[in-house]
Amino acid sequence: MGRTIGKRLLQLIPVLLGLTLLVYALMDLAPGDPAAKRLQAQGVAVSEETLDAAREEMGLNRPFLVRYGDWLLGVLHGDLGTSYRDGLPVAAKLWKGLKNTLVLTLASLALSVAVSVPLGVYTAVRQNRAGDYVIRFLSFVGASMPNFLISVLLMYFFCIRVKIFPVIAKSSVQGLFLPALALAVPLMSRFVRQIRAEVLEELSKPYVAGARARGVKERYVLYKNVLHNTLSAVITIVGLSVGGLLGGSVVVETIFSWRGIGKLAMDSITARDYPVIQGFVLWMAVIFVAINLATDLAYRALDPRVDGLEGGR
Amino acid sequence: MMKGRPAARAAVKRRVWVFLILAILLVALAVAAPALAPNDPNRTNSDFMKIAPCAQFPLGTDKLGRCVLSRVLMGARTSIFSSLCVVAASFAFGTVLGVLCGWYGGALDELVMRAVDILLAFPQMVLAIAVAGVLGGSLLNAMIAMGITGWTLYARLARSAVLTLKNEPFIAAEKLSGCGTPRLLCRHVLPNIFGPLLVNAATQIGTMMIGIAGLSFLGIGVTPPQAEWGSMINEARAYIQLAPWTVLAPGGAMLITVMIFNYLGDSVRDLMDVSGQSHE
Amino acid sequence: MNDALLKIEDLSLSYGGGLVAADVTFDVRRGETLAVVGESGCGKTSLLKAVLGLDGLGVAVESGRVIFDGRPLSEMPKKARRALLGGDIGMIFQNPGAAFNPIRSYMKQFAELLKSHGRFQGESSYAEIRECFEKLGLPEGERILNSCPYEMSGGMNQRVAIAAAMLLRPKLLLMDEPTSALDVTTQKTVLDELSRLKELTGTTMLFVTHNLGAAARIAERTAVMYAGRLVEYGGTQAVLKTPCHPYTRCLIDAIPKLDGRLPSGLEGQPPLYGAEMPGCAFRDRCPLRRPDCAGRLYAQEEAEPGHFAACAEGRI
Repeated sequence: MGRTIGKRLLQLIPVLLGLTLLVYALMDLAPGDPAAKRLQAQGVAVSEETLDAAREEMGLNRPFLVRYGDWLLGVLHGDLGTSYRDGLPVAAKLWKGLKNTLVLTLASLALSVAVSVPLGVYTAVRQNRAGDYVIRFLSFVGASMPNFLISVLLMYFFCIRVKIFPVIAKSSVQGLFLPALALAVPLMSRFVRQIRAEVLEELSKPYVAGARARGVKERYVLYKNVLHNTLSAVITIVGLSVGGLLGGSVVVETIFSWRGIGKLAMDSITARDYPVIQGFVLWMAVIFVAINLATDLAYRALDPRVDGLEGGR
Repeated sequence: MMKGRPAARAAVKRRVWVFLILAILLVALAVAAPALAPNDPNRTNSDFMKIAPCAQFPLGTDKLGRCVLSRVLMGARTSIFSSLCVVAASFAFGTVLGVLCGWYGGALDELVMRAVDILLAFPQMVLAIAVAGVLGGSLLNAMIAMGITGWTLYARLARSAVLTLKNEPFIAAEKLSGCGTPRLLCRHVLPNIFGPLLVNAATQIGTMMIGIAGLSFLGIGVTPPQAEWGSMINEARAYIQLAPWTVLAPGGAMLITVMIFNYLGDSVRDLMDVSGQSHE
Repeated sequence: MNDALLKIEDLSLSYGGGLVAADVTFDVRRGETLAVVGESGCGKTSLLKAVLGLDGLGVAVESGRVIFDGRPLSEMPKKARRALLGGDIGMIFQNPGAAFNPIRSYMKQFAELLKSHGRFQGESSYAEIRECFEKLGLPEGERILNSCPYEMSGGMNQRVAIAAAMLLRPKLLLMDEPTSALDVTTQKTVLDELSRLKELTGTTMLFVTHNLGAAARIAERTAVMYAGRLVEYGGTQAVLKTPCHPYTRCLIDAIPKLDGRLPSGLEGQPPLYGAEMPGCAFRDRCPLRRPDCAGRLYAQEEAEPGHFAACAEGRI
């Protein structure tokens, strides 16, 4: 197991290098002058001299690789630079945003799992009956709706029409509910169908008939055996959806004004705040790989038949 | 088991046909949009702002007095064509690359697979947002942003299918009888790996559509005044209370379209399962 | 009069749309072991599934009855029928690795089993289980309990499955080719254990197999099935030494004998849904066929007391 972790972390390095280089290069090619934006944000008039001075200050005059190397060096010392917009250290800004996003992500994951596991089991056990069809149709609808649409509709119904929740989300449980729900709906919908498929497959395995033939009570068969065996699949499904969650959070955070890392990234992109964008890419990659690794390890812990070999590819 | 029996196959085939026809109808709608639209989608009208659905404007007007139905139809054009384009490009690029990697192996294989790892080490949508945001708002940039990661799954699938196929006896037999590599690849390898790739393509259309709309919603995709469902919803959400149809119309259209393509993808997958993979 | 624990009356079964068994009638007396022998696809496994009566096994009863301990099973409500499983009727499956959840320890699964039957009493139950293992000749009961099925060999798993079935002391034990998936040495061990079980508990057993040797070893009476129909049944010695039906003759002739006689193989395959055929389904492969076999209806005739056959042409 230690070998796997080590191997993955080693693989992470070229990935991070490649990714950050890619984004750095893209930003260079992109339209929009960060120096000009900075001056505008500071309220300074943009002219030839001020632009040159700003560029000098921001170190934008140096060649590409030097800038990149400089940034990389900074990263190795734990310094992600300072934001172009307000001069605050990037790491601090990212961290604050990350905390908020984590809360949101965990809340929506918890909500999704709590709803989809029972529904998935129910639809599998009552396969092809009325309840199964209705739930499956609803989950199909939920999975086909873009999350920005869900967010807008939720906001409309609950903030404006019915006025249960405030329009601008406060960082509290009440403010958390709607964005978490908005993120959870597409997730739940996919989970229900996947869990249903897993449970159905598990139910068709010979040991289920064997247990029933021995007179083992149905609830033991379902909860202690079938569900136990499908847990590893559930974890994989959850782990694989984190990527989508992180992406979806950008939209939801923007709509509900939830001060998470997604909104921060979005704002930085619009403002051409390159250091923040770079730092964001770096952190996201690390987090993503870490979560994939954790999912893998959890999977192996639950299914002892999978030994230390790298599965998949 | 019960699978593979003619009755089940026929039922699945029917489903594929149904959704394929619906999808084709959607595409036809998109093609015919300019002709079908009752009004000019970009024409603003200060006298008719935020009007509820009526005879002249069947789905009402938005805050600038533009006909919502016309904009939804034109938006269909944008969304459907752009997603089909991205999927087709990803499919072609990814498949070719994957087949070459699987067949020749070596340095090419290593390089491409590392690139895939890098691209997939990052949540796709976030990367798309970063790329689109940085490149600037336009439909093309949004398509590029979505396409950057879109081809990877095809490459992986094609590569592993080719790797398994390489060892099949019939390939060796063809080689011995003097079949040249390009012909071998086109005639014998490609048809056999088509199945799972097709399933992936069908299911990806919906994802691409949602992705491009999402980017437009955030303002880093299609730029106004071009009609696109995502950007329409973004513009309209500020006054959703006054004119809900401005959000519901594009939203509903989007939902129906994505659902049809998703059902299509689902039935294609079922068909592949029931027919037992692609050894036709 | 030795009364029957299990009575099968004119049972016809279908599976996947075709008839797999037709008009099967026999009974299993208390305390005896009845072997049902035949080639793959003759319907013997479907018989067991019909007695078990679980949904999802795919077998449907077209006509006829199964009567267990005087109660007609087909007329019982589902819940009552399921309540019989384990405690009254036990089953051993052919695939030893599949009867238990491969990735959970035996200890947990045995506990669930006992809890389901209201007989779990903590530590003393585990002691009871280990005792059961010992009686059956299973060494290191503690180690077995702490292992998961996937870690153990097929033979061991099958023996544990037998132990589990016996733990509840069922009145009737159904066995679906319990030794087919095992290697020859383990087969002998398992058969020995089953014999010992019989002596210890006097459980009634219905033993389905394609192995005539196993039937000879363990069953007092034997029934022979072909293409969904019962062609012969009676005392095992009588059926195997003095068979009546040509098919039974062929089966026996196909076994290599120690006196140097070469086995004469039986060519061809049984027809797929042979039970649906009018007349004798064996006629195409029968060396003793007569012109009127195509229209001959099945009727079990008593060739000698207790020995029934649907055709006596194979009499030596």
